[in-house]
Amino acid sequence: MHPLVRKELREHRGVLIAMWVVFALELLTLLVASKRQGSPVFAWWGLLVFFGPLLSLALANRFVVREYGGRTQLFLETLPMSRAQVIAVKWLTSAVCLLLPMALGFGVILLAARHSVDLTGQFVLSLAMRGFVFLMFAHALAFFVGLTGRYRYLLWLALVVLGIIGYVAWQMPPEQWPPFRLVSGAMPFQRGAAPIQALWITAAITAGLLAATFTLALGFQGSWVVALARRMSLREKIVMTTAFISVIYVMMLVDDRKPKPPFSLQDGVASSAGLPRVMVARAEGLGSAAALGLADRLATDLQALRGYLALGHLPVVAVQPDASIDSGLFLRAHLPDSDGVVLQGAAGAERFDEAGFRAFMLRQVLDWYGRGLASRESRRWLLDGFSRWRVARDDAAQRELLTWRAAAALQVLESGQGGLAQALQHWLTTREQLGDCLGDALAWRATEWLSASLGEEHFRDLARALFGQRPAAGIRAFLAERPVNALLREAGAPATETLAAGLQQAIHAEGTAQADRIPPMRQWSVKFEAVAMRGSLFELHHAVTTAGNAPVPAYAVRYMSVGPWDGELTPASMERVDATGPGVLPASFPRGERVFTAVEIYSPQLQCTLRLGARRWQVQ
Amino acid sequence: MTAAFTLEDIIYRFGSVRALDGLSLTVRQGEVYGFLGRNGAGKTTTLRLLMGILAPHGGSIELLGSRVSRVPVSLKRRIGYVSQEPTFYPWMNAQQLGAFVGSFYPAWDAAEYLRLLRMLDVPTGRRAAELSGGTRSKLGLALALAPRPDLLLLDEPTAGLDPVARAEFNDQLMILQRERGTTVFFSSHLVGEVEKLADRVGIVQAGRTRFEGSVVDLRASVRSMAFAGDAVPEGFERLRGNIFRADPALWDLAEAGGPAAQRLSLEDIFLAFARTDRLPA
Repeated sequence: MHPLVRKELREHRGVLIAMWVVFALELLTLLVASKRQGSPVFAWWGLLVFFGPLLSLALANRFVVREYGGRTQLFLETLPMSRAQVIAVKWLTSAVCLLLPMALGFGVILLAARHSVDLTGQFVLSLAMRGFVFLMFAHALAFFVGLTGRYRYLLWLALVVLGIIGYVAWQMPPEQWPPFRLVSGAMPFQRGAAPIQALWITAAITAGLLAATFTLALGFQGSWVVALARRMSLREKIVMTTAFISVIYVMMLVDDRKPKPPFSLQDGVASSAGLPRVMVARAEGLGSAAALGLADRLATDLQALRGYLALGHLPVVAVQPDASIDSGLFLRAHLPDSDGVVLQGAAGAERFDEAGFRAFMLRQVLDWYGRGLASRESRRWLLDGFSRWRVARDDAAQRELLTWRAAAALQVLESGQGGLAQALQHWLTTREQLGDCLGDALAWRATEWLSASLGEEHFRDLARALFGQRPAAGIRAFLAERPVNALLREAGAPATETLAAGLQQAIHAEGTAQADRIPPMRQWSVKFEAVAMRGSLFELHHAVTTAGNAPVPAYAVRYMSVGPWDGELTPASMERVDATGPGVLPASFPRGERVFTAVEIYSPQLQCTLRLGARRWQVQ
Repeated sequence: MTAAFTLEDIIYRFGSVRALDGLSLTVRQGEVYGFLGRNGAGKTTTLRLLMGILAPHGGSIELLGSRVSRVPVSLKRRIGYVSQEPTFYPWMNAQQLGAFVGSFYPAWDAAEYLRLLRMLDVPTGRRAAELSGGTRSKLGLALALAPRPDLLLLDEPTAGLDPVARAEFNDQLMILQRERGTTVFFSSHLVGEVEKLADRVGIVQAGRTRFEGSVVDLRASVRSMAFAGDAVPEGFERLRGNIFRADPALWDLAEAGGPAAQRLSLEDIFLAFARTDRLPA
């Protein structure tokens, strides 16, 4: 064995053993997890994607960065061995340290898969080739970047930025790039021939990286890499950081200034001439005439909104009806490549809540206009309330319905903790608790109360200050935000506590006067319970009970797993199970999982779905 | 006496800077050669060229009987090298370092290495990171001598050592040199050290050899004298002020008809070379 190989193995044996132990544990975990994926071969994909790059980075750090950073390569250079030989031995030794555990892992995976997967020669060869070429690519890249010494972090960042630019400029997501295409998620199930083109391109990139590695290591008699290995001076750190931030900022500016084409709906009916452009797609239950009617009503709302808030340019609004979704469920599409507001709702369906949809459209347009600023939690109740207020202001019947709904919302809130002031300040939590129907109604009632107390003119000024300003794009939008309380104060509005107290009083009075119009929500009791299954898994039991012998209405259970950073939970992201009595959710949850659960009951009196017993909790 | 190595018109550039600008010198077999020069004069670059770490951009090298453009690995095996700041693997002890370095040299003498460690008082079990600067230099010397090299190159090996450690190192170096008769080429900017150890000296300034010969010749050829008027007689080279360099015979002639030239200390002579107003074309 070459003495340098012996030295490397001895120097890094601790780290190598630790990495290989981690590797073995990960292999076991992946093999267990791959049962759920349907094929043990899935573990091979996991190893390649997660462990391959990690081990490559660790090896490059140990074999290259440590040697040059510690200046011990100067000692190596005094020994009878050429510089090229040093680099070649290090490259090959670290490659073997990477390939050895991966090859063993591959063998174990094949053994595990031999009874459940048809391991043809072509399939095994394809898996091996893809893995080998990808690992060599990861290794060559990590080794080359490691040679850039103090600039290696900058280079990694630059590669990420280049990746983002590539993605944005060529609309080519990373998983389609040749090296990553080799290890796509579909790899374990692709039984055909290996993707030859991706293999060749990746191999060529790897060869290029290898050539670059030797050029860098041997260039100018090794002085480049020695110079790169020196530590950054404070001035250099400052210059590099400033340069990097500047590049990112310029990129953001350039990207912001690149106009996106307006969204165009194929086969849609456009609003009449003279009105803002709204397009509605024809769908089942929504013929051309009905679509045109809806487009004109929405465009009229938009025109009135533009006049009221003195808005400038408005986005194209497109509506894609879908009668199969819940009548009260409204969605907005994310448009990475075009500009506009694209909405989905059950237009054309029998119970379609058109007023709610119009308010949703106004809310989304204002969100677009304020570049997301209007949807911040501090001003979100005003946005929800204002958009509803715009639609309901000339419709007495709708205002009456909203008044009852607001009274119902207060009942739900009063059964929990905290007052109305707190409910407005933590609006996203309140909205999650109330659901869209009651949440919108409460926001509307608060806005109505605010409008009445401020007077028409002052209220319009407040609305313009809140929603009528279009901030600059990018990070500057954050800087443009003025605190809501300051805006309310300037408009002469009462403090939130005073507003909440007055509002609560008003809603109480309205609720008492119209008690028979409000469903008996206080009589309904919602219960969710985690019941242990085998091991650490739990099933969730649900039940709705009523006081006395009153019948339990049919209800829907909404639930979902919640991550630690999940903010607003949209109805579209929740699972739904319909029930007429106690039951068990069709899913199991591990101990400690955080879940959101709620029950939704349709109320004929309030003509919408009421959400009860909503909460986030931990399964145990 | 045959040459251990000869450098002729060596040029080496760092970008646009000429670190070696036509350097020539000859080191004879079995001698101790002191290579004097101030910081940045080109001493380390010369040693790195001789070790094959760098390759010259011009000139020729004749090393241990072979004319080469760049020192090959086969010749490196016959050279021992002690660097200015030995950068050993900090986790290795002297024994492990010996095993590692020895595996590159077919002529490695493990018993001799252990003897050298004992003689130089280098602990075998302590990691390199835990050794003092002086002990690290001595460890470097043991590693360089254990393969029984034909040529020993030392790049300011005592730089940074205290006077006691320096004296110890030099004494032991001389004992070992006398034992084996190895050619020693060492660089230094300490005149006293060179005077004490070297048979011959070379003075390098701005990448060129300004003097090469014995210490006695050096003393005899550089003196201080005030010539009448500004005219410098033929055969005399003004180094700085009234300090001139000339053949000793010319000095005898000059002293015959006028005042005696003042003899200078080696320190002053070195300073005169190092601070020369202008290099000769």
